[in-house]
Amino acid sequence: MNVIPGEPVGKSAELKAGSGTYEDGDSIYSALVGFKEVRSSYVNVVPIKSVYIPREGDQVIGIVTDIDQSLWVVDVRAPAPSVLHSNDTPWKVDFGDTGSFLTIGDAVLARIKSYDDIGRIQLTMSDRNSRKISSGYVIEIMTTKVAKVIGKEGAMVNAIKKFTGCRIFIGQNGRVWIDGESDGVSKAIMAINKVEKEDVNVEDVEKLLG
Amino acid sequence: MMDEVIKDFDREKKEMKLIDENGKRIDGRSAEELRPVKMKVGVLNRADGSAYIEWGKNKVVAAVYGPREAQPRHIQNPLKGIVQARYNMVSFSVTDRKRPGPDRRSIEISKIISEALEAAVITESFPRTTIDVSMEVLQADAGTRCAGLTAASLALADAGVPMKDLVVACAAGKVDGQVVLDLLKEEDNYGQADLPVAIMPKSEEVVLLQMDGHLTQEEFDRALSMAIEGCKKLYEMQKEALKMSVGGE
Repeated sequence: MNVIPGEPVGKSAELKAGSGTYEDGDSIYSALVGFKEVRSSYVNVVPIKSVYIPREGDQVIGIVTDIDQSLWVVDVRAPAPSVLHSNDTPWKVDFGDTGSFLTIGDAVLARIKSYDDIGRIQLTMSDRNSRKISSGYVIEIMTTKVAKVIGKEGAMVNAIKKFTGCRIFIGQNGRVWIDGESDGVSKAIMAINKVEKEDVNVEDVEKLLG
Repeated sequence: MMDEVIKDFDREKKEMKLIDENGKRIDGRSAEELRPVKMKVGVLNRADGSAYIEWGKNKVVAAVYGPREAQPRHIQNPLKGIVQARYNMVSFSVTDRKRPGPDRRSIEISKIISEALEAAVITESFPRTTIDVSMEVLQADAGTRCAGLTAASLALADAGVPMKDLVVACAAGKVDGQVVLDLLKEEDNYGQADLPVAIMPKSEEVVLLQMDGHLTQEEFDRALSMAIEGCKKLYEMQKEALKMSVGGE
């Protein structure tokens, strides 16, 4: 069932206002265009389209937009720029030497360290998965389609990996990194765009690529 | 000489009948009828959200970008986001070429539309950011601010910006001494008053109200309630346009 902003989705006596909703008086209303979903005692609205709202722990692909003496400013497609401090990297960065590790335009695989009430975003790269991206392509998809492109337990992305021979990483912010032979990369991009825009399942993708 | 011209003009004004004996207006509508309206959501690929509206002879495209970091930084509000709307008429939107660029009128309209939309958007979710709304009037025939605002609220919903409610706008006015809904160009030019109104339909909260011309208290009350009824009809069309955009994907 789909809803639009201002449409009632429940009574506050029975349910709690979850994400994509707001409470006014004794009713809960949708704040978004999307699908109503009741989970335990919460009513949520899952948006059709949305900006990327960071969550702590999300693996994202960021692009460096500015450098400072001890930090980098990184665009993660969120409403605000995020900050990657040199202490949160696996490297030993001397003060003022940030530019020799990452420079403007570089892409990184990083994790959201914190996202506070006033909208400040901090990133960290001090975990095993995080690194600088030095080869391949980065494409953007709708943030609301990330789960679909990954598939159940990674089924969709694994199928694309298997049939194209590419290395693929999907950031929660809707940026996808693809690396491999150019034929494989173009096939993978085509498949990802198809999964994002059309109603296809894993078998369809296997048939398309196989 | 000049007196004669003015006298001629006055006579012409008196002779120009905007409402006939049967109560029909020059385009055949009754006093409480809207012009035909078409709305479409998601018409532009590059914008985060977009909508197009055809309202009688008005044609307006609206696009939304953001929420994104507000620039320059001094316009940021650390507690909530801001809405920056830009209303623009393209040079070929009117019969005499409109000189391009913002003028006194479009700056005013941009400001009041920003404020009307800000009332609906849940700006507290996005501190320090801006939500940019751009409205281009491709063809104008009176009531473009209402058409623009109605389309802008659809574009915001399409962009996935959280809102308390949609915003819908409609004008009423006074023509040939009679209160009528949704004035068209001739009625606006030669009528006695124009009253654009925007509301959030759920609460009927008024988020925009202007008046050009003169109305008595009774006429004003009647025009206001008539405009609100018009808004409600348009709201149903907005709902349908949004649900179509969801089903279409």
